[in-house]
Amino acid sequence: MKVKRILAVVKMETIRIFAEPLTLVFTLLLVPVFILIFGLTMGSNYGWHEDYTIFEIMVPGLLAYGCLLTILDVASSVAGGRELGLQRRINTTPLTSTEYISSQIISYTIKPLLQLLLGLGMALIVGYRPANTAVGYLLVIVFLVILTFCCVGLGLITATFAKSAGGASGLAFIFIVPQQIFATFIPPEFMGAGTFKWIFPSFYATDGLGLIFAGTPLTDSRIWIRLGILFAISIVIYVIGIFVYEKNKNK
Amino acid sequence: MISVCPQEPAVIKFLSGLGNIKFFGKLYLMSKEQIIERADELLKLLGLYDNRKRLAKGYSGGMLRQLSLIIALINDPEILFLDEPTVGMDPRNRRKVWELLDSIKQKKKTIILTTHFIEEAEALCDRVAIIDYGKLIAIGSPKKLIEEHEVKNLEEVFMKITGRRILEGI
Repeated sequence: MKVKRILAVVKMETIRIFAEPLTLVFTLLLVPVFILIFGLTMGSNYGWHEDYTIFEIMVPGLLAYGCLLTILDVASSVAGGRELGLQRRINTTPLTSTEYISSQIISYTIKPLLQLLLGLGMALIVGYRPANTAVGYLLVIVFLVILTFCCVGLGLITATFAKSAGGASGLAFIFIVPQQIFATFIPPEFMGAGTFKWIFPSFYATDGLGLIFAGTPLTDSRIWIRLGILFAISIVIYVIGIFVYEKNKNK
Repeated sequence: MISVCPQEPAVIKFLSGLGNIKFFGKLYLMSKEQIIERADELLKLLGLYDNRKRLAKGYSGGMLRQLSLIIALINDPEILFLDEPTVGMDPRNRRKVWELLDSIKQKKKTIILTTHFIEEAEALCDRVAIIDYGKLIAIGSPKKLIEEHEVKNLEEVFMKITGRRILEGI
Protein backbone atom coordinates (compact mmCIF):
# COMPACT_ATOMS: atom_id res chain seq x y z
CA MET A 1 0.00 0.00 0.00
CA LYS A 2 1.57 3.29 -1.13
CA VAL A 3 0.72 6.47 0.77
CA LYS A 4 1.51 8.65 -2.27
CA ARG A 5 -1.18 6.94 -4.33
CA ILE A 6 -3.70 7.16 -1.49
CA LEU A 7 -2.98 10.88 -1.05
CA ALA A 8 -3.35 11.48 -4.80
CA VAL A 9 -6.85 9.97 -4.75
CA VAL A 10 -7.73 11.79 -1.50
CA LYS A 11 -6.72 15.10 -3.10
CA MET A 12 -8.72 14.33 -6.24
CA GLU A 13 -11.81 13.28 -4.26
CA THR A 14 -11.55 16.34 -2.00
CA ILE A 15 -11.44 18.60 -5.06
CA ARG A 16 -14.49 16.73 -6.36
CA ILE A 17 -16.36 17.37 -3.11
CA PHE A 18 -15.60 21.07 -3.29
CA ALA A 19 -16.01 21.33 -7.08
CA GLU A 20 -19.78 21.34 -6.88
CA PRO A 21 -20.58 24.25 -4.55
CA LEU A 22 -24.36 23.75 -4.68
CA THR A 23 -24.15 20.11 -3.62
CA LEU A 24 -21.57 20.98 -1.02
CA VAL A 25 -23.66 23.77 0.46
CA PHE A 26 -26.77 21.56 0.38
CA THR A 27 -25.11 18.63 2.14
CA LEU A 28 -23.08 20.72 4.57
CA LEU A 29 -25.85 23.09 5.51
CA LEU A 30 -28.58 20.47 5.73
CA VAL A 31 -27.65 19.44 9.27
CA PRO A 32 -27.23 22.96 10.76
CA VAL A 33 -30.37 24.21 8.99
CA PHE A 34 -32.43 21.29 10.34
CA ILE A 35 -31.06 21.97 13.81
CA LEU A 36 -31.89 25.65 13.47
CA ILE A 37 -35.46 24.97 12.30
CA PHE A 38 -36.26 22.21 14.81
CA GLY A 39 -34.49 24.05 17.58
CA LEU A 40 -36.36 27.30 17.04
CA THR A 41 -39.78 25.85 16.27
CA MET A 42 -40.00 23.07 18.82
CA GLY A 43 -38.19 24.85 21.56
CA SER A 44 -36.80 22.81 24.37
CA ASN A 45 -39.51 20.15 24.59
CA TYR A 46 -40.00 17.36 22.16
CA GLY A 47 -43.47 16.73 23.51
CA TRP A 48 -43.42 13.09 24.51
CA HIS A 49 -40.99 12.98 27.35
CA GLU A 50 -40.55 15.57 30.04
CA ASP A 51 -36.91 14.67 30.69
CA TYR A 52 -35.72 15.11 27.12
CA THR A 53 -35.46 18.19 24.99
CA ILE A 54 -35.54 18.06 21.22
CA PHE A 55 -31.79 18.35 21.16
CA GLU A 56 -31.11 15.00 22.85
CA ILE A 57 -32.52 13.12 19.87
CA MET A 58 -32.10 15.64 17.10
CA VAL A 59 -28.43 16.57 17.40
CA PRO A 60 -26.95 13.04 17.52
CA GLY A 61 -29.48 11.85 14.94
CA LEU A 62 -28.75 14.63 12.48
CA LEU A 63 -24.99 14.20 12.86
CA ALA A 64 -25.41 10.51 12.04
CA TYR A 65 -27.72 11.44 9.17
CA GLY A 66 -24.97 13.67 7.76
CA CYS A 67 -22.72 10.60 7.60
CA LEU A 68 -25.42 8.63 5.78
CA LEU A 69 -25.20 11.07 2.88
CA THR A 70 -21.73 9.59 2.26
CA ILE A 71 -23.51 6.57 0.78
CA LEU A 72 -24.89 8.83 -1.95
CA ASP A 73 -21.54 10.55 -2.54
CA VAL A 74 -19.54 7.32 -2.83
CA ALA A 75 -22.14 5.51 -4.94
CA SER A 76 -22.47 8.35 -7.45
CA SER A 77 -18.69 8.88 -7.56
CA VAL A 78 -17.89 5.20 -8.25
CA ALA A 79 -20.80 4.64 -10.68
CA GLY A 80 -20.04 7.96 -12.42
CA GLY A 81 -16.37 7.01 -12.79
CA ARG A 82 -17.38 3.69 -14.29
CA GLU A 83 -19.85 5.38 -16.64
CA LEU A 84 -17.15 7.74 -17.97
CA GLY A 85 -14.61 4.94 -18.41
CA LEU A 86 -12.48 6.53 -15.70
CA GLN A 87 -12.68 3.47 -13.49
CA ARG A 88 -11.38 1.27 -16.28
CA ARG A 89 -8.50 3.66 -16.86
CA ILE A 90 -7.65 3.78 -13.14
CA ASN A 91 -7.71 -0.03 -13.12
CA THR A 92 -4.81 -0.07 -15.59
CA THR A 93 -2.65 1.89 -13.13
CA PRO A 94 -0.88 0.25 -10.19
CA LEU A 95 -3.53 1.61 -7.77
CA THR A 96 -4.90 -1.31 -5.73
CA SER A 97 -8.50 -1.69 -4.54
CA THR A 98 -7.39 -1.37 -0.91
CA GLU A 99 -5.58 1.89 -1.69
CA TYR A 100 -8.59 3.17 -3.61
CA ILE A 101 -11.12 2.35 -0.90
CA SER A 102 -8.85 3.62 1.90
CA SER A 103 -8.59 6.93 0.07
CA GLN A 104 -12.38 7.06 -0.30
CA ILE A 105 -12.77 6.62 3.46
CA ILE A 106 -10.29 9.41 4.20
CA SER A 107 -11.86 11.80 1.67
CA TYR A 108 -15.42 11.19 2.73
CA THR A 109 -14.64 11.62 6.43
CA ILE A 110 -13.94 15.31 5.81
CA LYS A 111 -17.58 16.17 5.16
CA PRO A 112 -19.10 14.53 8.28
CA LEU A 113 -16.47 16.24 10.41
CA LEU A 114 -17.38 19.61 8.90
CA GLN A 115 -21.02 18.74 9.51
CA LEU A 116 -20.17 17.96 13.14
CA LEU A 117 -18.53 21.35 13.50
CA LEU A 118 -21.33 23.28 11.82
CA GLY A 119 -24.16 21.20 13.30
CA LEU A 120 -22.90 21.34 16.85
CA GLY A 121 -22.05 25.01 16.47
CA MET A 122 -25.61 25.74 15.37
CA ALA A 123 -27.03 23.61 18.19
CA LEU A 124 -25.03 25.59 20.73
CA ILE A 125 -26.27 28.84 19.20
CA VAL A 126 -29.92 27.79 19.46
CA GLY A 127 -29.59 26.67 23.04
CA TYR A 128 -28.25 23.11 23.22
CA ARG A 129 -25.92 22.50 26.13
CA PRO A 130 -24.46 18.98 25.92
CA ALA A 131 -22.93 17.62 29.11
CA ASN A 132 -19.82 16.59 27.25
CA THR A 133 -16.08 16.60 27.88
CA ALA A 134 -13.13 17.04 25.52
CA VAL A 135 -12.54 13.28 25.53
CA GLY A 136 -16.24 12.84 24.87
CA TYR A 137 -15.91 14.95 21.73
CA LEU A 138 -13.04 12.74 20.59
CA LEU A 139 -15.27 9.73 21.04
CA VAL A 140 -18.01 11.52 19.06
CA ILE A 141 -15.51 11.89 16.21
CA VAL A 142 -14.61 8.18 16.49
CA PHE A 143 -18.30 7.23 16.22
CA LEU A 144 -18.78 9.44 13.15
CA VAL A 145 -15.61 8.19 11.46
CA ILE A 146 -16.67 4.56 11.94
CA LEU A 147 -20.17 5.28 10.65
CA THR A 148 -18.63 6.99 7.61
CA PHE A 149 -16.41 3.93 7.12
CA CYS A 150 -19.57 1.83 7.11
CA CYS A 151 -21.30 4.23 4.68
CA VAL A 152 -18.37 4.03 2.24
CA GLY A 153 -18.96 0.26 2.17
CA LEU A 154 -22.68 0.77 1.60
CA GLY A 155 -21.88 3.28 -1.16
CA LEU A 156 -19.65 0.72 -2.90
CA ILE A 157 -22.40 -1.89 -2.65
CA THR A 158 -24.92 0.60 -4.07
CA ALA A 159 -22.60 1.46 -6.98
CA THR A 160 -22.55 -2.23 -7.96
CA PHE A 161 -26.19 -2.14 -8.90
CA ALA A 162 -26.18 1.25 -10.62
CA LYS A 163 -25.28 1.87 -14.24
CA SER A 164 -24.86 5.63 -13.93
CA ALA A 165 -24.15 8.32 -11.35
CA GLY A 166 -27.80 9.39 -11.47
CA GLY A 167 -28.99 5.83 -10.96
CA ALA A 168 -26.61 5.41 -8.05
CA SER A 169 -27.94 8.57 -6.37
CA GLY A 170 -31.45 7.16 -6.53
CA LEU A 171 -30.45 3.70 -5.35
CA ALA A 172 -28.47 5.13 -2.44
CA PHE A 173 -31.74 6.13 -0.79
CA ILE A 174 -32.56 2.44 -0.32
CA PHE A 175 -29.87 2.48 2.37
CA ILE A 176 -30.35 6.08 3.49
CA VAL A 177 -34.11 6.40 3.99
CA PRO A 178 -34.76 3.41 6.31
CA GLN A 179 -31.84 4.43 8.51
CA GLN A 180 -32.97 8.03 8.42
CA ILE A 181 -36.49 7.06 9.48
CA PHE A 182 -35.77 4.32 12.01
CA ALA A 183 -32.37 5.18 13.38
CA THR A 184 -31.38 8.83 13.24
CA PHE A 185 -33.20 12.02 14.19
CA ILE A 186 -36.75 10.65 14.19
CA PRO A 187 -37.17 8.59 17.37
CA PRO A 188 -38.33 5.10 16.25
CA GLU A 189 -40.53 4.85 19.33
CA PHE A 190 -42.36 7.87 17.96
CA MET A 191 -43.65 5.65 15.14
CA GLY A 192 -43.93 2.46 17.17
CA ALA A 193 -41.01 1.03 15.23
CA GLY A 194 -38.44 0.67 17.99
CA THR A 195 -37.78 -2.98 17.17
CA PHE A 196 -36.33 -2.17 13.76
CA LYS A 197 -33.73 0.26 14.98
CA TRP A 198 -31.34 -2.49 16.16
CA ILE A 199 -30.59 -3.65 12.62
CA PHE A 200 -29.34 -0.28 11.40
CA PRO A 201 -25.71 0.83 11.92
CA SER A 202 -26.76 4.45 12.27
CA PHE A 203 -28.75 3.55 15.40
CA TYR A 204 -25.57 2.57 17.25
CA ALA A 205 -23.94 5.85 16.29
CA THR A 206 -27.00 7.95 17.13
CA ASP A 207 -27.54 6.23 20.45
CA GLY A 208 -23.84 6.32 21.32
CA LEU A 209 -23.65 10.04 20.57
CA GLY A 210 -26.84 10.58 22.57
CA LEU A 211 -25.31 8.90 25.60
CA ILE A 212 -22.10 10.94 25.31
CA PHE A 213 -23.96 14.24 24.87
CA ALA A 214 -26.17 13.38 27.86
CA GLY A 215 -23.10 13.28 30.04
CA THR A 216 -22.99 9.51 30.54
CA PRO A 217 -19.58 8.61 32.02
CA LEU A 218 -17.29 7.48 29.24
CA THR A 219 -16.57 4.31 31.16
CA ASP A 220 -20.22 3.27 30.79
CA SER A 221 -20.35 -0.04 28.95
CA ARG A 222 -23.39 1.01 26.88
CA ILE A 223 -21.24 3.50 24.95
CA TRP A 224 -18.53 0.93 24.24
CA ILE A 225 -20.99 -1.81 23.34
CA ARG A 226 -22.57 0.51 20.77
CA LEU A 227 -19.16 1.47 19.44
CA GLY A 228 -18.15 -2.21 19.25
CA ILE A 229 -21.31 -3.27 17.44
CA LEU A 230 -21.03 -0.33 15.02
CA PHE A 231 -17.41 -1.27 14.34
CA ALA A 232 -18.27 -4.94 13.77
CA ILE A 233 -21.13 -4.10 11.39
CA SER A 234 -18.88 -1.63 9.57
CA ILE A 235 -16.14 -4.23 9.08
CA VAL A 236 -18.65 -6.70 7.61
CA ILE A 237 -20.13 -4.07 5.28
CA TYR A 238 -16.67 -2.82 4.32
CA VAL A 239 -15.52 -6.34 3.42
CA ILE A 240 -18.67 -6.90 1.34
CA GLY A 241 -18.10 -3.46 -0.24
CA ILE A 242 -14.52 -4.35 -1.25
CA PHE A 243 -15.67 -7.74 -2.55
CA VAL A 244 -18.39 -6.31 -4.80
CA TYR A 245 -16.15 -3.45 -5.87
CA GLU A 246 -13.42 -5.92 -6.92
CA LYS A 247 -15.95 -8.04 -8.74
CA ASN A 248 -17.47 -5.17 -10.67
CA LYS A 249 -14.64 -2.74 -11.19
CA ASN A 250 -13.94 -3.92 -14.74
CA LYS A 251 -17.57 -3.82 -15.87
CA MET B 1 4.58 -1.19 -18.00
CA ILE B 2 1.38 -0.85 -20.00
CA SER B 3 -1.00 2.03 -20.55
CA VAL B 4 -4.44 2.43 -22.09
CA CYS B 5 -6.15 5.28 -23.91
CA PRO B 6 -9.80 4.23 -23.99
CA GLN B 7 -12.27 5.10 -26.73
CA GLU B 8 -14.16 7.54 -24.51
CA PRO B 9 -11.99 10.43 -23.27
CA ALA B 10 -11.78 9.14 -19.70
CA VAL B 11 -10.55 12.25 -17.93
CA ILE B 12 -11.55 13.90 -14.67
CA LYS B 13 -13.67 16.85 -15.72
CA PHE B 14 -13.36 18.88 -12.53
CA LEU B 15 -9.56 18.87 -12.68
CA SER B 16 -7.47 20.96 -15.04
CA GLY B 17 -5.62 19.32 -17.89
CA LEU B 18 -2.40 19.47 -15.88
CA GLY B 19 -4.26 18.31 -12.77
CA ASN B 20 -5.36 15.18 -14.62
CA ILE B 21 -1.81 14.46 -15.77
CA LYS B 22 -0.41 15.00 -12.26
CA PHE B 23 -3.06 12.71 -10.74
CA PHE B 24 -2.25 9.79 -13.02
CA GLY B 25 1.49 10.46 -12.76
CA LYS B 26 1.23 10.13 -8.97
CA LEU B 27 -0.60 6.81 -9.34
CA TYR B 28 2.53 5.61 -11.17
CA LEU B 29 4.60 6.96 -8.26
CA MET B 30 6.42 9.43 -10.48
CA SER B 31 8.15 12.34 -8.77
CA LYS B 32 6.73 15.85 -9.14
CA GLU B 33 9.70 16.88 -11.31
CA GLN B 34 9.32 13.84 -13.57
CA ILE B 35 5.60 14.52 -14.01
CA ILE B 36 6.09 18.21 -14.84
CA GLU B 37 8.94 17.52 -17.25
CA ARG B 38 7.04 14.80 -19.09
CA ALA B 39 3.73 16.73 -19.00
CA ASP B 40 5.30 19.89 -20.44
CA GLU B 41 6.90 17.90 -23.23
CA LEU B 42 3.65 16.13 -24.18
CA LEU B 43 1.44 19.20 -23.74
CA LYS B 44 3.72 21.21 -26.03
CA LEU B 45 3.89 18.42 -28.59
CA LEU B 46 0.11 18.19 -28.84
CA GLY B 47 -0.51 21.93 -28.56
CA LEU B 48 -2.38 21.80 -25.25
CA TYR B 49 0.23 23.65 -23.22
CA ASP B 50 -1.60 27.00 -23.18
CA ASN B 51 -4.77 25.30 -21.97
CA ARG B 52 -3.12 23.13 -19.34
CA LYS B 53 -4.54 25.10 -16.41
CA ARG B 54 -8.11 25.20 -17.72
CA LEU B 55 -10.63 22.78 -16.26
CA ALA B 56 -11.09 19.72 -18.48
CA LYS B 57 -14.85 20.26 -18.51
CA GLY B 58 -14.23 23.33 -20.71
CA TYR B 59 -12.23 21.35 -23.28
CA SER B 60 -13.56 20.51 -26.73
CA GLY B 61 -13.99 16.86 -27.76
CA GLY B 62 -10.69 16.89 -29.64
CA MET B 63 -8.82 18.46 -26.71
CA LEU B 64 -10.23 15.86 -24.34
CA ARG B 65 -8.94 13.11 -26.61
CA GLN B 66 -5.52 14.75 -26.72
CA LEU B 67 -5.49 15.01 -22.94
CA SER B 68 -6.56 11.39 -22.68
CA LEU B 69 -3.64 10.41 -24.88
CA ILE B 70 -1.19 12.47 -22.81
CA ILE B 71 -2.44 10.71 -19.66
CA ALA B 72 -1.83 7.37 -21.33
CA LEU B 73 1.72 8.42 -22.17
CA ILE B 74 2.69 10.03 -18.88
CA ASN B 75 4.38 6.89 -17.52
CA ASP B 76 6.30 6.30 -20.77
CA PRO B 77 4.79 2.82 -21.19
CA GLU B 78 6.46 -0.07 -22.96
CA ILE B 79 3.13 -1.24 -24.37
CA LEU B 80 0.41 1.25 -25.27
CA PHE B 81 -3.19 0.36 -26.13
CA LEU B 82 -5.00 3.07 -28.09
CA ASP B 83 -8.68 2.78 -28.90
CA GLU B 84 -9.53 5.18 -31.74
CA PRO B 85 -7.31 7.95 -30.35
CA THR B 86 -7.92 10.47 -33.15
CA VAL B 87 -11.71 10.33 -33.45
CA GLY B 88 -13.16 13.84 -33.35
CA MET B 89 -9.81 15.55 -34.02
CA ASP B 90 -9.27 18.00 -36.83
CA PRO B 91 -6.71 16.99 -39.50
CA ARG B 92 -3.98 19.19 -38.01
CA ASN B 93 -4.27 17.68 -34.55
CA ARG B 94 -4.56 14.21 -36.04
CA ARG B 95 -1.23 14.78 -37.78
CA LYS B 96 0.32 15.88 -34.48
CA VAL B 97 -0.86 12.65 -32.85
CA TRP B 98 0.51 10.63 -35.74
CA GLU B 99 3.88 12.30 -35.37
CA LEU B 100 3.87 11.61 -31.66
CA LEU B 101 2.96 7.95 -32.15
CA ASP B 102 5.61 7.63 -34.81
CA SER B 103 8.23 9.00 -32.42
CA ILE B 104 7.13 6.47 -29.79
CA LYS B 105 7.45 3.72 -32.38
CA GLN B 106 10.98 4.85 -33.17
CA LYS B 107 11.84 4.19 -29.52
CA LYS B 108 10.93 0.51 -30.12
CA LYS B 109 7.81 0.65 -27.98
CA THR B 110 4.77 -1.42 -28.82
CA ILE B 111 1.53 0.31 -29.78
CA ILE B 112 -1.70 -1.59 -30.30
CA LEU B 113 -4.01 0.78 -32.13
CA THR B 114 -7.69 0.33 -32.96
CA THR B 115 -8.91 2.63 -35.69
CA HIS B 116 -11.57 3.10 -38.34
CA PHE B 117 -9.27 5.37 -40.33
CA ILE B 118 -7.52 3.05 -42.76
CA GLU B 119 -5.05 5.77 -43.78
CA GLU B 120 -4.07 6.04 -40.10
CA ALA B 121 -3.36 2.34 -39.94
CA GLU B 122 -1.38 2.49 -43.17
CA ALA B 123 0.66 5.48 -42.01
CA LEU B 124 1.45 4.22 -38.51
CA CYS B 125 1.32 0.45 -38.32
CA ASP B 126 3.97 -2.15 -39.04
CA ARG B 127 1.34 -4.85 -38.85
CA VAL B 128 -2.36 -4.53 -39.53
CA ALA B 129 -5.23 -6.84 -38.61
CA ILE B 130 -8.54 -6.24 -40.37
CA ILE B 131 -11.54 -7.34 -38.36
CA ASP B 132 -14.91 -7.51 -40.04
CA TYR B 133 -18.04 -8.27 -38.01
CA GLY B 134 -15.83 -9.57 -35.21
CA LYS B 135 -13.90 -11.90 -37.50
CA LEU B 136 -10.20 -11.54 -38.33
CA ILE B 137 -10.10 -11.54 -42.12
CA ALA B 138 -6.58 -10.30 -42.91
CA ILE B 139 -3.31 -9.76 -41.11
CA GLY B 140 0.12 -8.61 -42.20
CA SER B 141 2.20 -5.55 -42.95
CA PRO B 142 0.40 -2.86 -44.98
CA LYS B 143 2.89 -3.37 -47.82
CA LYS B 144 2.34 -7.14 -47.87
CA LEU B 145 -1.46 -6.77 -47.83
CA ILE B 146 -1.36 -4.21 -50.66
CA GLU B 147 0.87 -6.48 -52.76
CA GLU B 148 -1.19 -9.58 -52.05
CA HIS B 149 -4.41 -7.93 -53.13
CA GLU B 150 -2.79 -6.04 -56.01
CA VAL B 151 -4.26 -2.67 -55.07
CA LYS B 152 -2.89 0.83 -54.47
CA ASN B 153 -3.44 1.30 -50.77
CA LEU B 154 -4.76 -0.28 -47.59
CA GLU B 155 -8.19 1.28 -48.00
CA GLU B 156 -8.57 -0.58 -51.27
CA VAL B 157 -7.48 -3.78 -49.53
CA PHE B 158 -10.18 -3.19 -46.98
CA MET B 159 -12.80 -2.46 -49.62
CA LYS B 160 -11.76 -5.46 -51.66
CA ILE B 161 -12.03 -7.95 -48.84
CA THR B 162 -15.06 -6.47 -47.11
CA GLY B 163 -16.75 -4.84 -50.12
CA ARG B 164 -18.68 -7.97 -51.07
CA ARG B 165 -20.72 -7.57 -47.93
CA ILE B 166 -21.48 -3.94 -48.79
CA LEU B 167 -22.41 -4.77 -52.39
CA GLU B 168 -24.58 -7.67 -51.32
CA GLY B 169 -26.12 -5.59 -48.58
CA ILE B 170 -25.14 -8.04 -45.87
